[in-house]
Amino acid sequence: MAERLPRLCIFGDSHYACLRQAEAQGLVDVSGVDLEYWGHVGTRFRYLAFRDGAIHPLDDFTARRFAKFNARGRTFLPAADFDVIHVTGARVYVWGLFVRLLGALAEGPFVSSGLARRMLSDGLRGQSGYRLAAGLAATGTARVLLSPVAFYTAIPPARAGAISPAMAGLIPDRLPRFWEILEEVAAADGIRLLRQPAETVTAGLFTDPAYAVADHLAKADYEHRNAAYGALLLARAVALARQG
Amino acid sequence: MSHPYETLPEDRFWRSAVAGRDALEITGLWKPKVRVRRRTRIVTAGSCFAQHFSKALLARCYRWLDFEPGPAGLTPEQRKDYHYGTFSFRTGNIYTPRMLRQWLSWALGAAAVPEEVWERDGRFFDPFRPGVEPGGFASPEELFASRRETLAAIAAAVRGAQVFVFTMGLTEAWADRASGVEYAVCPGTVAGRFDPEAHRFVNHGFAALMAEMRAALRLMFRANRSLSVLLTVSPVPLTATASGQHVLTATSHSKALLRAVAGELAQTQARVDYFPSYEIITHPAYRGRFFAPNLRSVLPEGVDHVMAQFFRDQAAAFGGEPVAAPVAEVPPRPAEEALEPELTEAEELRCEQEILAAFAPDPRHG
Repeated sequence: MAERLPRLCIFGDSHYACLRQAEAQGLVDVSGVDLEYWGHVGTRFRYLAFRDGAIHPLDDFTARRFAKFNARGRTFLPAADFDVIHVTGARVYVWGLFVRLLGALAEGPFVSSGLARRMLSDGLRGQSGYRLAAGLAATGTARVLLSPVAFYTAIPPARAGAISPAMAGLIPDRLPRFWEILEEVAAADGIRLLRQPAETVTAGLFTDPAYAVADHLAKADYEHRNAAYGALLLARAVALARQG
Repeated sequence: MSHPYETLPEDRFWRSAVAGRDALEITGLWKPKVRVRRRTRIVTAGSCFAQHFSKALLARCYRWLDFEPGPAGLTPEQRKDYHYGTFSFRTGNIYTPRMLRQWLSWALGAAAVPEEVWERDGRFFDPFRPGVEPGGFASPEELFASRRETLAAIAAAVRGAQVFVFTMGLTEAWADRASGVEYAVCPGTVAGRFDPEAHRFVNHGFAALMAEMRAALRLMFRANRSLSVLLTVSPVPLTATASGQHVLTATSHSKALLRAVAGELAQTQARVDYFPSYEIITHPAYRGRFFAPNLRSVLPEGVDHVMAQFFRDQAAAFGGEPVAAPVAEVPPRPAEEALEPELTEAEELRCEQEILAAFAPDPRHG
C-alpha cells in the first residue's frame, strides 16, 4: 500500500494568495506534499469560529466563499485532516505591536522587560486570527505554523512618520528580541511562529518593495506580497511538512 | 442660654442624627475644610481603599491626576496587573505613615534611596513595592530605573497637586534592623527571605505615628505651599497580625490609633482634613451592611455610599456643584482590536483581486 503524503494546508486571508502564486509559478517544489489552500478575504475572518477541532464559518455565505477557493470544496477546516497547517496573514498583525512598543521604549515612560513581554504576548494572543491558530494547535493533531501579516511595503505615505529616529535606533537591538518573545508565546500555545524572512525586510520595519505585489504604487497596495515572497514562506512550510 | 447644648443643631444628638434615622440617611458626617471642585488637582495614595477615591473622582469627571500613567496603549488588565492608575504613582499600597514619609523623603531628596533588592528565582523585587511588577524585574538596574520613575512621579504629584488624599491602613510593619527602613510587606512573603537577625516587627504607637505623619506633612508642605492633605483611614481589617494579639483586637487597636492620629492632625493643622470613610463603613450604625461575607472586603455599594457622602458634604459646605452622579464607564476598546484594521471597500476589493489572481489560472480551482 502506497504511503500517504504529508498533508499541508495553507490557511489565511488574502495574504495567502502569494503562496499560491509561488506554487503556480513553479517557484517552490511542492512534490511529496499533499497541498491544499483554505482561505478568503480578511473581512470574512470575523465570521469564523473554532469549535470541535475545526474552524467553522458562522454562516453559509462565508462557508461558500471559503469553499470556492479550496480544491476539495471544504466548507470548514478540521485540524485532524492535516499534518501541517500553515496559518498565514489571517489578520495577525505584528507591525503595530512592534511600533507601539518601540515608541514606548524610545519616548518613555519607562517600560520594564516584563511589561514589554506582556504587551507583546497580549497583543498577539488578543488577535482573532491568532486565536483560530491556537484553536487548531490545541487539538494536538496538525502541527500549526503561523506567519503574521508582513510589514508594510516601504513606505506607505500614511506611515511615513510612524517610526521616529529614536525608534529606528532601537530596532537592530530590540526587534530580534521582540520576535523571540512572540516565538516563545506562540510555542507555549503549540504554534511555531515564522518570522518575516530577514531578506525581505528593509528600513528596519518595512518590506522591501522587491517583494511587493506588482504595481503596488499605482494600486497604493502596501500590504500584499508577490510570488517571490510567497515562495519563501511556502518553501519553509513544505520543508517542515516533509519532515513529518 | 441655660447651657451650651440647648442651641446645638440636630446632628450633634445621637437620637436625631443616628438612632432615629435610616443609616443611609445619616448625613453631614464631614465638614470639609477645603472645597474640591471638578478642576481641583487631586492625587491619591495609601492603603488599598484609596484606589476607590480615584475611581469615584474619575467617574464623576473630577481632576484626579496620574503622574505615572505608564506607556500609552496598555490594556485595562495590563494597567491593573502592573499597578498603573491605581494610585497617582506606582508605589503600590502605602500602608503606614512611616512608609509615606520614606517615599516622600526619597522622592523629594531628603534621604538617600536604599539599594536593597529582593531576589527570587533570578528575578528582582522592590522591597518597598514588591507587587507592582508581576514576576519581578529582570535585573536590579531595571528595578532601580523603574523606581526612579516612581520617585519622580511622587515629587511631581506633591508639587503639582492641590489636594493630596492619603488613606492610612496599618500600624504594623516589618523593618530592617540596621537601617530602620520599613518594608511594604514582611520579607519572605511576596519575595525576599525572612531573616530574624536582620528584620524586626514594628507596631507603631500613637507618638510614633504622629511623628511620622508630621514629618511627612512637613515634607509635602515644604514642597508645595498651597497643598491640602485629606486623610482617611482604611476600613479594611488586617489580613493577619504579628502583634501577638487576636487579629480582631489588633485591628481595633491599629485603626483606633490611625483614627486618632488623623483626628488630631485635622484638629491642629489648618491644611489637614479628615474624611470619615472609616466610620461610614465600620460604624455599628451601618450594621456591617457594607462588608462582604468575609467581613473584610468592602462591597461596591459601600464604596458608592462613601463617595456619595463625600460629594454631598462638599456640596453642603460650599454649595455650587450638586452631588455628582457617576458617569457610566465606557469600556475602552481593547488595544489588540486596534491592531486588526477594518478594511475599506477598496481594500477588500484589492484582497479579492489578489485571491482571484492567485487561483484563477489553475484549472483545478475553476
